[in-house]
Amino acid sequence: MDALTLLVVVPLLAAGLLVLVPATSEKLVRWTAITASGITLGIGLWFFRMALTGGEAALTEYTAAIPRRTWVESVGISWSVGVDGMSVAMLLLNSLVLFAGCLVSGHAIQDRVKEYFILFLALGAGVFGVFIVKDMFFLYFAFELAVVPMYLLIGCWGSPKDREYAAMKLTLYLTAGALVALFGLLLLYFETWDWLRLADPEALPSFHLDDVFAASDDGAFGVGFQKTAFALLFLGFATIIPMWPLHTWSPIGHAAAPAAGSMMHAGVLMKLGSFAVLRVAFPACPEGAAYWLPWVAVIAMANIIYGGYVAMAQKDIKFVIGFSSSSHMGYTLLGIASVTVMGVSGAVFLMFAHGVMTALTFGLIGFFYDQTHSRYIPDLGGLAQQMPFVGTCFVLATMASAGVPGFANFASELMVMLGAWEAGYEVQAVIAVFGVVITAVYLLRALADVFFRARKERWDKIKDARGPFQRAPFVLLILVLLVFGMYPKPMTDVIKAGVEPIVAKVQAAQDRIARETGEAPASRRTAPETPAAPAKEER
Amino acid sequence: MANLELYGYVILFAPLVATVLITCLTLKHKALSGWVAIAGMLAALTANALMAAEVFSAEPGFTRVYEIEWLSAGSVVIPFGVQVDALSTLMGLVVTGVGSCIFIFSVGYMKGEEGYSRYFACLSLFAFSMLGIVMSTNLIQTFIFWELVGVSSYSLIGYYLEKDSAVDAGKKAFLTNRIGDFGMTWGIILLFYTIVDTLGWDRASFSFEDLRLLYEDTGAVGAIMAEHAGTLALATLLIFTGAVAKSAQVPLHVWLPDAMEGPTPVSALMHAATMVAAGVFLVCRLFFMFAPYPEALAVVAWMGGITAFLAAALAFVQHDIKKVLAYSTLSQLGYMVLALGMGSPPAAMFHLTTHACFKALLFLGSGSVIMGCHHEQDMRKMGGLRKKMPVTFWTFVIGTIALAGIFPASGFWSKDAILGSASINHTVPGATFLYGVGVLVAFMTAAYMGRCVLLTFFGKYRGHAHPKESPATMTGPLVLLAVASLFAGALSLPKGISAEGGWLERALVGVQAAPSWFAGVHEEQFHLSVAIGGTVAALLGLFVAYMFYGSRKWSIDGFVSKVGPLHHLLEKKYYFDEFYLWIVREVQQRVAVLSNFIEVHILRWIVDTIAAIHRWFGGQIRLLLDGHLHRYITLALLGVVVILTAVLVGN
Repeated sequence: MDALTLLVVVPLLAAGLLVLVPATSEKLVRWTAITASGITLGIGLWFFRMALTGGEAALTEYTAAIPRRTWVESVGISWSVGVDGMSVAMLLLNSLVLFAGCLVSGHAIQDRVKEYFILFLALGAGVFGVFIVKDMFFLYFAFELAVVPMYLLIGCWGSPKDREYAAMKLTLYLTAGALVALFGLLLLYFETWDWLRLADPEALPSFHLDDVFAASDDGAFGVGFQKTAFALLFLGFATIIPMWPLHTWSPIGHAAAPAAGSMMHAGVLMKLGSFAVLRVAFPACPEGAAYWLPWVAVIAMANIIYGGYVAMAQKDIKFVIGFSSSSHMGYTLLGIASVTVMGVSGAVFLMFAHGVMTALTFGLIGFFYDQTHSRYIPDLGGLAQQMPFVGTCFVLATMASAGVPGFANFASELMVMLGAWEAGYEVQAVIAVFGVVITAVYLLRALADVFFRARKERWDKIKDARGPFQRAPFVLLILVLLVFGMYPKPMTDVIKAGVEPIVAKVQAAQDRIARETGEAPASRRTAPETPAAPAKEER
Repeated sequence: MANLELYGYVILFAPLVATVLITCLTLKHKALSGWVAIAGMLAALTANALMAAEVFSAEPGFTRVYEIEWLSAGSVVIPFGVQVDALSTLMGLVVTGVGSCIFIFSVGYMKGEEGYSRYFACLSLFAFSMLGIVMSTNLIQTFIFWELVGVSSYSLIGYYLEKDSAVDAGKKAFLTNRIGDFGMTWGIILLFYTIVDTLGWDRASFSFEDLRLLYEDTGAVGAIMAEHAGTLALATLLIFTGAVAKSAQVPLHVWLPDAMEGPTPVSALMHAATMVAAGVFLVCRLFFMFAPYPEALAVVAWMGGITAFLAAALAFVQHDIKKVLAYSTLSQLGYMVLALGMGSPPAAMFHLTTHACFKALLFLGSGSVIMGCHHEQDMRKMGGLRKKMPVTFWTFVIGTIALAGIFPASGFWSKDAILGSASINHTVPGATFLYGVGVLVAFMTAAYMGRCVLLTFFGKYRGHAHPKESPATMTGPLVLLAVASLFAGALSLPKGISAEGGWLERALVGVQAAPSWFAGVHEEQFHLSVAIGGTVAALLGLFVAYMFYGSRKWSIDGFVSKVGPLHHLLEKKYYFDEFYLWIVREVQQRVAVLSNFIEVHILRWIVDTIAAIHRWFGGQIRLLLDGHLHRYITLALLGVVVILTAVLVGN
């Protein structure tokens, strides 16, 4: 079995094992989960090392050696996995957050421990699935595999006040989004089948992305078709990003989830949308992307500015971070919309950095919330004196989120801004730069009101994180942010190599449109060397 | 020369190593933390001294750049490294030299504080960030450390994190600097892509030396650059915004007085000697970008002049000894910026160096006073400390003489260089007026410092504590800095006094790009009239202070009542704070609340309503399916009829 499939199998296997373990032996349950997530972290690091030493060629070679395992031949479903620079970053992210989440839950979850970890591991497996599969059926399947446990995690272990509403809203939104995207996927599926039958009238259909891309490269997808398919795919996936105004499920989902649930949700789940856009929609519908993305660059501004201002008005610390997340995702959207190597690499890097940072933040909030049972900012205050370690970590997390250099978030946001300007979105780039000021306003305010100011006696019995077991997840995540922030080149080189071919396709489409309309392209990027095949006319 | 790279990286990373060591290992061992920090700083100082020995013995304009690739994507490459030249070496010496004094002083001053280790960790982090700006080779690296300086400043201003005023002051400093950084980021990106658009990707770079080549080009490249002068000047001024915030120039100066909430050594190191000088340093570093645009230089000069005057006026109405020094710092920074605008970076760097010595001295002196008076900062509750704290008194007087610019202390020479550059400038509109402002500020400086000394050290003691002299770890650095304050003027004695002119100016010859229109201003000359004018103004200032506060022959209350509205305006600090608070509360917060209203009452309402409609619909349908079999059959039959009709009609 290849190591990629292991990433899905190991958590699922562990979850299966846990079903057999008696619910009373909580220690065994915890250690099984931690071990399983630890193994995935090992695999994630192994792939990252492979990408570092061997470059994109090593990853391509590894992918090529994995056979397609046919599952249902008549409809063309196969278990087929692959990895490139972009997914390596995401695999590392998910394994880090999963591992840290298991550690955090190790002491935070006391109620129905066994069921909790079964769902948590299933969630992790689903996310891994999305990042590795090359089959559209399994892409959809893995996504749903991630959403359903999230529903239960929030519904059962969430904060009592709003968990039912939040869980329902999240699930409905994500499922609806996935359904819209499924329409897009099916469009691709049938159009690809038509193309396959051109060569061989007896050909069976295929859900495999390689076939879809081959059809797209051959010009089988007309411009009109691409516009429709891209719109459906993007709209569906953008719900998960979440793009304004489809975001309302997200902050409350953050807020109601248990600590590790928020970590997975904000850390990785939200990245599935933008990943799927880059993985499927970009290479399959470059013409559609070239047509729609300028609009996305505008909507991204709503994410950044509006999200920031709404965060400023919140009184609940989890809502502050929740809206902050949707504000940060505006940068991801802008980076993606820029269609430059710089911008898209920045967007992927930001997905990684934001995932780690926000997992850290929610882990820390969960840590004190479990003791204060309040997230209402005016109630809190002076916590740094009762919990200096958690306070220090929270300061670092805030700084990372506010885009302070030295953390990976800064490097990635800078790349997005540079990329946006390179693409000719000067106004958006300046607004994005201004967004960093807004971010600093609400984050520093929340930080000061929660952790600084006068000591409050009612929190005197609160305990700081003690011992390596409690501190490890936070230290781990901070180190990751610092290492890739101080010296981002290794990570950006890995991501860049994966992003370049995807970007080149859409750039070719942009150039073709520019040639046809006779307008000079707004983008100041250099044109790719080999123009892609012209798209077929509308049928 | 091979060692230069090593020296550069030691200067940069020694303080960082100290930070990491303190954070990871010695948090619990307070005394050790202090010494680790000092060791880190001394290591940087040593490396810097070794570097200075090589750089200053080399030919003028000596520059070495050592870079690695930090990040690259597409056609953009961002390097990271150290630049070794006279400017970075000199600035490095100021930071490590004054820094070492202040680190040692802190050992005594911070004794017994609960967050002792945290203090030294943050202080070392600051040293790392500041030296990062100093050694930086390119705009992005500068920006990185620019922000890090802001962060370490935030952490040290808010050092007393249980105090609301300290926390708010830290926040204010961070956010004000963020606004400056906003402009700076914009400027950097605009500059980079303007070069991409006009000269192509091959020429585009963030590195100072690459950019300098473009600006100094006299051929085709230079012609293209000249064509886009407007955009490039705009980019330059946007980058200057960052300097405005960090060097606390009007209107982004509001954070600096509040920053005095931090421990006094922090005020001395960061908010007087080094961090706030970063803006001046940056303009010197980028002077080749300002030099071709007289309009940009004029903006700089006027900004400096206005700040120098407005801040000096504010210093008169302060009662807190540290606030007097804070406004004095603002005013002196205005001087430096004025010199830059007048086209004389060496004069600005000269004043930066001497100011670092005497202002650090004055702040540490005030720290010693504050500690002697048991953490009393109000000058109205001091007085007569001359006898009780002799070392502090004499060193403070030396600092005052230097700041007031009295011969032969260092301030005299550097202020003279600035006034000299203003007196002969012909390119800045209103240069003569600004020269007049400079002389006026010299008068004001002497006057408010005279007031400060007289209130603090003379007369009768008006407090309730029992002041006594500070320990040797504190007075030692005072004496060191006092000696430096007296003699630092020797760094750059102008032509006419010494035979071959200012050493510092010759060392910094590479800094000053010399575009054609600029010739002639270049050389510092000693102008007797300027020196006399400045000195007379300063002595007059001291005299006025004596008449009001020493002999009390003139009544201060009577004077204040005569200039009532003006005094009120000063007490309100020209209403800058009120204006910003209004923006924060009335504009920003309202936008936030409005956005939240849209979120909750529109977006969420729409979603919830859709959900509610479905729920209602489901509820209605549920009523149909209530278990009555005959109704089910009726419905089914109806359905069949409908479908059949449809099919038949369709056919």
